[in-house]
Amino acid sequence: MSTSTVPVVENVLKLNDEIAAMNRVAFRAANVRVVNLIGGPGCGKTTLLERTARRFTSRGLRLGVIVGDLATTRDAERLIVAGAKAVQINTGKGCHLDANQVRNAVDQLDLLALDLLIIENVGNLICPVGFDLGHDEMVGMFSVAEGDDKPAKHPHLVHTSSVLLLNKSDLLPHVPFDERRFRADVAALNAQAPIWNIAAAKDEISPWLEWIDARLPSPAD
Amino acid sequence: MHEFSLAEALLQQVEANAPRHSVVRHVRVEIGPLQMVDGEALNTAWNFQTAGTRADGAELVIDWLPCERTCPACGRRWSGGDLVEICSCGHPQPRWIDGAKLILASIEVERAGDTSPPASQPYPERPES
Repeated sequence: MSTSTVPVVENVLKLNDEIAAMNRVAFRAANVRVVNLIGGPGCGKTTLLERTARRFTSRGLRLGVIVGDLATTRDAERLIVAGAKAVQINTGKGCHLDANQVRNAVDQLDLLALDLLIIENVGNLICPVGFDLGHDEMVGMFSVAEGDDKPAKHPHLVHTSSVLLLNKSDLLPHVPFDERRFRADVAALNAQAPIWNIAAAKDEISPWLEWIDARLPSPAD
Repeated sequence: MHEFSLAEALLQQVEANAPRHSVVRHVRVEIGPLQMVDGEALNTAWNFQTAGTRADGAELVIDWLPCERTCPACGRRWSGGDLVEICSCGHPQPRWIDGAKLILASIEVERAGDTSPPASQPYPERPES
C-alpha cells in the first residue's frame, strides 16, 4: 500500500457543466436564446411567464418553457393555456434543475419552432444557482412580499444574475419594504445587473418585455 | 439542502479521478463564500454519500476561500467581511474578483500496486423515450 496525492483542480460540478455545454450547443444550433429564471416559491415566476406567453401569442411568436417543480403539472398547464410550449419536470426530492434534466426535457420540444426558451427553475433561491443548464443568462426574481433582505441572504443568485426583478411592486405602499436597502444590497453584490420593478399580476412588466425582445432572433437570422 | 447535491457531485468527481483499485483517504475542496455552503452539512452529506464506496471514511478537508473585492473608485482591495459590505470610501459597487469557486483541489489515495488511469467518466443514463 502506498499513499499518494492526486491533484485535480476541477469544478465540483464538472459533470453537470459538461452536459450544460452540450445543451448550449443544441440551443445555439437552433438559434434560440435561453433564460434561467430563478426565484423563491410564490414570487410570481409562473404568473410572469403566463403574461409573457400571452404577449408572444398575440404577436405570432412562440415561447418555450421548461418548468421545474417538486410535484404537480399545474404550472405547465397554466403556461400551455397561456399559449406557451411548456414541458414540466417533476424533480421529486430535488431542490433544483440540473443540466441532464433539461437535456431530457428539450427532447420534448421542437427548438427550431421556438423564438425563446425560458427555464422556470424550482422555487428556491439557493440550490439552483450553481447548476449551469446551458442557458445564456440567469434572471433572479424577488417579490416585495418576501421582504427587502432577500438579496443579502442569497448573495450567489444576486451575484450571478444578469437582471434582477422585483415583483409585486404594487404592494410597496402597503407593506414594510425598504427599497433603498434592497437596491443597495444588490449593488454591493452585482455592479452590472439592472433591477426592475414589475407587477406581473397587473400586467406591468414592460422592462422585462423589452429585455426579452432584444433576445429574440432577428428577422435576418 | 444544496450540500447534498454538492456531496453527490463531489463523489462523482472523486470517483472519476481516483486511480483504479485505490482507496480514497482525504479529499480537499476549495469553496468560496458566495456558495453559501455549510461545512457541517457538507460533511454530513459527504459521509452519507460515500458510505459503501471506496471513499467511505475519507476525510473531507474544506479550504474556505476569501471573497476578494476591489473598489473602482479608490482602488482598495479587501476580502472578508459582510458579503454586502461596501468600500470604506463609500463607493456602493465593489468589483468582485472571486468568491463563487467550488473546486475539487486534490485527493489523497492509497493504492495496491495498480496505477492504471481512472475509468472514463460516464454520463447519466437517458430514460427510454
